[in-house]
Amino acid sequence: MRPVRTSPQTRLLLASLLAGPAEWRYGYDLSRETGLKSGTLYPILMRLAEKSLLETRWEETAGAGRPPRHMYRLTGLGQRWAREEAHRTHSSRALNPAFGDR
Amino acid sequence: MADTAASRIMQSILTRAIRLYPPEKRAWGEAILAESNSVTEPSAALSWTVGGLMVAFRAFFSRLFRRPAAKSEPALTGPAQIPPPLPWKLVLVCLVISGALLFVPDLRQGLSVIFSSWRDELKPTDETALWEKIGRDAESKGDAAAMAVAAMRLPDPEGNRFDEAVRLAEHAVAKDPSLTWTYYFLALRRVDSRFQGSPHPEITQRLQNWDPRNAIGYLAQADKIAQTHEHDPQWRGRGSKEEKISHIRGRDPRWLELMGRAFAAPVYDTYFARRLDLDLQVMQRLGVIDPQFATRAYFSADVLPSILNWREYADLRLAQGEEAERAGKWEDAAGEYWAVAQFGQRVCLGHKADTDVELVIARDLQERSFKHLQPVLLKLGRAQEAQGVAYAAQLQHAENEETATHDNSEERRLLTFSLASGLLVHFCAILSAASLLLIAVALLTFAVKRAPSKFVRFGLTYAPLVLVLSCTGLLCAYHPYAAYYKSYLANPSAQDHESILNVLLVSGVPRYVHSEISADSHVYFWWAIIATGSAIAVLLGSRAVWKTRRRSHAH
Repeated sequence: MRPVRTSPQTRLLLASLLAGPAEWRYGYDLSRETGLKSGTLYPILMRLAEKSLLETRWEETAGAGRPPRHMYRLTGLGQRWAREEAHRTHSSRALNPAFGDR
Repeated sequence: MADTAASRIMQSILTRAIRLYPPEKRAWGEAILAESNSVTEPSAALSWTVGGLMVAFRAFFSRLFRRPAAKSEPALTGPAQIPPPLPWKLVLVCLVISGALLFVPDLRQGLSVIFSSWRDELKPTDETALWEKIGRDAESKGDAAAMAVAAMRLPDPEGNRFDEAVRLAEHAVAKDPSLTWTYYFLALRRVDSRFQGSPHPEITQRLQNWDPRNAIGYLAQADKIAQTHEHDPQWRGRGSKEEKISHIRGRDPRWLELMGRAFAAPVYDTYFARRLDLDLQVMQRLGVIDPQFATRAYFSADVLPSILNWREYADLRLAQGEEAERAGKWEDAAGEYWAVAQFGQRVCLGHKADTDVELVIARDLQERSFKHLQPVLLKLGRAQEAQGVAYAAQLQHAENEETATHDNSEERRLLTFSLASGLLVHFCAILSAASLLLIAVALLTFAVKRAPSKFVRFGLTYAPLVLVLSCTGLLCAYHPYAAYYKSYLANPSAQDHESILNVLLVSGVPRYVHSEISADSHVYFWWAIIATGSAIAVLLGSRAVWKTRRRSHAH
C-alpha cells in the first residue's frame, strides 16, 4: 500500500528533499526550489510527517529578533520510499511515454 | 518579511491563524509564521500569507471530519488530545444569544410563518371547519361582525355550504343592517376560480335596495343572467363587429336594463375596503390570525363582476352613439359616449383593490369613448370641452402604458428579489430547526451513552453556533416583512398589491413556486442553483467522510 498519495507536487518535493537527504531544509527554501506555494507545500509536509516519512525539528540558534525556524528532512523510511516512488514513476513513463504528470 | 506596516499586518494574520489549528498541529502554523520572516518580496509575502491562511482553514475544517488521532501517530508537540471542537464558553454565549433571539417576536413570527407554509403544502388546512365553528359561536353570542365574516368565508371553492352562509349573512344583517354589503360577496361567489351568480337572487335584490346608487348590485344581477346563457351561441355571437353588436342588442331585456342602470349609477364600489377591514378586525379579535392567512385575505376581498359584460355593454353603447352620429343626432351620440366614459371614470374612482385588469379596462373604455366624443363635441360647437376630452384620452392611454410597464417590472422584482429573500428566509428557518434538532439528539445520545462521543461534542458545540447564525440571518431577512405586516394590520386597505405579493412570496415559497409562478419562469433557475449547490455539498461531505474512513482502515 502506498502510504502517501504521490501527486506531481509531492514527487517534486520528494525529488528536492532527496537531492540532499542528510541536510535539514527550511520551508521557504523548499518552496522556492520547487515553486510550490505555502498553501500546497505545507499540507504535503504535514502528511509526510504524519506517516513518519519526514523528520522535523526546530532551529536551535535563531537570528537576533527572529523566531526559530522549522526544518525538515526525509527519515530513512522516507528516503527508501521516495526512491521507490521515483523509480516507479520512471518505469511507468518508460513503459508508456504518454503517461505524464498531468 | 521586511518590517513594514503591510508585513506586520500579514504576520498578525498568520499569528491569529495559528488558533485555527488543532493543538497537535499548531506547530505547523508556527512554522509557517516563522518562515514568513525570510520572505522579502512583498508579492511573495502576500502569497505566503494567503497560503498560510488556507493551510490553517484546511486544518480547522479537516478536524470536523477526522476521527481522533491514534496514539501511535507522530505528533509534533506533546501528546495528541482531541479537544472539544469549539470552546465551551463560546458555545454558552451562542446558546444564550439564540435563547434571547427566540424571544424576539419577529423571529418567532418568521419561524411560525415558514413552518406553517410547509405544513400547508404537505397537508392543507381545512378552513371550512374553522369558519363553521366561528359562525356557530358568533350566532350564540349575537356577534354580527363575526357572523358576517364567517358567512363570506364559509363557501368552499366547490361552492359547498352556500345555503348555510346565506343564512348566517341574513342573521348578521338582521342584527346590524349596516352589514348588508356582505350580500355582495354571496351574490358573486367564487366557484373553481370563477365568479358565479348566486342561487339566492333575493339577496342581490336586497343589496340593490340597500345601496341603490352603487352599480355593483346591478352588475351582480346582470352576471347571473349572463351565466344562465353561458352555453347559448345566440348570446355571445360570432362574426363581424356589426353581428356581435346585433347579438348584444338582442339579449334578454332584463340584462340590458340592469347594465343600463349600472352604467347610470353614480357610484362603483366593490366593498373591497369594508370587507378587508372587517375580516382582519374580526380575525384579530378572535385570535385566528397569522401573516399568511391575513395577507391572503387581501385577495379574498377582491371580488369583481364580469368585466366581459361591461365591455360588451360598452361596445353596444358606443355602437348606438355611432348610429346616432350617422343620423345626425349629435346630442344623443354625445350622451351615449359620455355614459361609457363616465362609467369608466367611476370604476377608476371607486377602485380600491390594486387589480390592474379592472383599471386597464376602465381606462380603455374612457379612451375609446373620448376619441368618439371629441369630434361630436366639435360638431356641437363645444370646442373647449372637446379639447379637454382629447387631453383626457391621451392621459388614459399614457396611464395604461405605464401600468403595463409597471406590471412587467413588478413580475421581474417578484421573481428576483422576493424569491431570493424568500429562499434565504426559508433556508435560515430550516437551518435553525435542524440545529435545534441536532442539539436535542446530541443531548439524548449523551444521556443514554454517558460518554462524550465525537457526535455529542460536535452536536453540542457546532449546532449552537449554527443556531445563532441562522436565527440572526432569519431575523435580518424576515424583519422587513414583519414590519410590513404590522402596518398592514393597522391599515389593511391602504396597502398595495405588490407589497402583499412580496410578503406572500417570501413567506410561502413552496406554495408560490407550485401555483403562482408559471413553468417558464426564472424560478427553476434558482431551484437548479440550490439543487446543484446541495449536490456539491453532499459530494464533498461524502468524500471527506470516505477519505477519513480509508485513512483509519489504513492504520
